[in-house]
Amino acid sequence: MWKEITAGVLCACALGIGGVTAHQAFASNGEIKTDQRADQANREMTKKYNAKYRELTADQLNKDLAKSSVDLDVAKKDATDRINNAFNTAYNNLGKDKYDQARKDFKNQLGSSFASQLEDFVMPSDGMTYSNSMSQCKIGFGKYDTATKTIPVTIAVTYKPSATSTNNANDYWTATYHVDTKTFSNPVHESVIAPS
Amino acid sequence: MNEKTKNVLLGLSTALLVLACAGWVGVKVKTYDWNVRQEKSAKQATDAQKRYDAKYSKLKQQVMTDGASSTNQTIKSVSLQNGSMSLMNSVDKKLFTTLYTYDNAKQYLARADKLSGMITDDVKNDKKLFGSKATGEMITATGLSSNVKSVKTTIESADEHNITALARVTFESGYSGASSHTGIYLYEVGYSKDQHKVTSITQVQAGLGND
Repeated sequence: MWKEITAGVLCACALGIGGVTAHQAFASNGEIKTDQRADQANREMTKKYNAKYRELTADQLNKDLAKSSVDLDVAKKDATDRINNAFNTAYNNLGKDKYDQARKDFKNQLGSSFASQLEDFVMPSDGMTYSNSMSQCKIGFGKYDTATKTIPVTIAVTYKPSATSTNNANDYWTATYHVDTKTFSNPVHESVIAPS
Repeated sequence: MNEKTKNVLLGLSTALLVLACAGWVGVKVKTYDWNVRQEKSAKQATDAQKRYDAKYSKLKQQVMTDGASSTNQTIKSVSLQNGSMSLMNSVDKKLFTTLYTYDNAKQYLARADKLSGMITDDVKNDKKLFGSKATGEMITATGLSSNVKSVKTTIESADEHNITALARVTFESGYSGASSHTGIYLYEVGYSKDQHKVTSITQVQAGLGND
């Protein structure tokens, strides 16, 4: 009798475990396939980076740099000239009579994004100009990005707010210069309040 | 049911159980195996990328350094700009962090000596930058302290020998027991690549700010 009972219990256990196994096999199948795909992608990535590592030389980087870049001295001079032209107009007694023409000049020199910010900023109000005279405009350039052909620019302006001002005021602008299109994007103005 | 049939049934059910257990173990082992393989290959891929990035950075640095004296104007201009940025970022950071970080007169008056390896004697003797004994006494009396928040550098001009950079320093400073304020100072920094030293520091803008 015990043999029938044991066989029955064993059969029931086998069926139970078999069922669980079948269920797990089905569930694991998706997990295994995901792992297999990831493994394949990882292997391809390893192969790609190993090949790139072998091919990478200073000569190759030089060639890429020469191909993807421009004469940055020329580009920086162009950006400097554009900023100086626009800022000389903007910060030197820009009255209502010259404002409309100045707006056009800003757009030509700096592109619409920067021009729009600058023209709002220096707009004369109540017969007063934003700045009477610019005494200094320092321009600095950041790290040139060969992939996007852009370079960050900082502009530090020192000016006299009015003809009778005894103290100078300071403005600080940042923007990104696009070497290809000769325009500026992401203009940001930060005023520097002189200590009292 | 005779004894033989019972034995066969028992044997079959045992075999069935062993098979089910083996199947269960097999599924677990296969899942684990692919998981381990995937993790291993992911690490290999990350390592390969890191190795490539390290070589790329090293070579790019070399190309930028060598390129500054290249006869190819394109390479030369980009190398000069980006090489100067890299150099002055590090010079300005050390310079202004030292200049604008102090908690007491002793630290304030020790700044010139701390920087002596990277500034010329003319700069070191500039009282406007490094103060005097009287400034130290004022700091002791008022508890003035300062702490740098950021130093941002851009390049005004650069050639094979000299760099002129603009450094915008943001710092917090205040007297003991009073609330601190944020200062934003812009400096023009001259650097000689031949001497490996800062040759001039001129204040261009000074003010209070919110950032």
